[in-house]
Amino acid sequence: MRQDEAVDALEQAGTLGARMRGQGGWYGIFGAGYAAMSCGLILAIGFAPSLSFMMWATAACLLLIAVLVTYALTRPVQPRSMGRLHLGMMGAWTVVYSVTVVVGSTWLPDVAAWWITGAVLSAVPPLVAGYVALRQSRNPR
Amino acid sequence: MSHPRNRLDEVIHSPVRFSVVAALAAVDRAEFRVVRDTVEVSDSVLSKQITVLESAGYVKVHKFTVGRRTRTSLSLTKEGQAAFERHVAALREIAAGTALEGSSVGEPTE
Repeated sequence: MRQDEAVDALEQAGTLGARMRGQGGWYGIFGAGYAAMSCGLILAIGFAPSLSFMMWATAACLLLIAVLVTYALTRPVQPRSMGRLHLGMMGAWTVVYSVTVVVGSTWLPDVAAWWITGAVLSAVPPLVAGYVALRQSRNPR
Repeated sequence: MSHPRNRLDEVIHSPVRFSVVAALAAVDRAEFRVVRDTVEVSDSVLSKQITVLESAGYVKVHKFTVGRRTRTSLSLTKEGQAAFERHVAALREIAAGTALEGSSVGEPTE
């Protein structure tokens, strides 16, 4: 193999890799959708005027989760290290969500600032994970 | 020190297989049709090359059903990833020209 052939092969590998990575940006949409669902769910729990409203809100969130999971499962490309990224996101989200709901329901049920802050913080893990996936998909190398 | 061309992987060295492995190395998993369109080959050519890569233990083929359709996706195995990294390292050495000393610059194409 000649030097110029090696250079061409490396360039080709880079181009193909970039093209494939570019198709992994869908996780950014997934992250944004999950962040919106999480915000809505926590606000619904915190400010629910009645039990039936909370149940409807929970059902709507479960439906949105089902849509997001279906969307993720039907994507043709799974980005590099997506499993780790998703697990990390879910772990961080579970901690924020659990603390917000358990502490808020037990000790701070009427403190609006607690629920709003918790809702915003719960959106951070999926947004960060989505941003990381989006950056990765736009990385030329 | 041996010439880096001796470290080029025989299985990956073929142009189509190199393209397939390079494409798969950038993701965890990709559907067959995406790899086919990215590498720009026909279904039959890709199938043939995937069989070779699978036999070498470099590629894993996953089949799953979505609704009524069966889909095929491909991923690199750890061996495939390691082989590709070694292959690319050898290509980089050749491209950098570090191994040209003592060898013919105008050597014929393999």
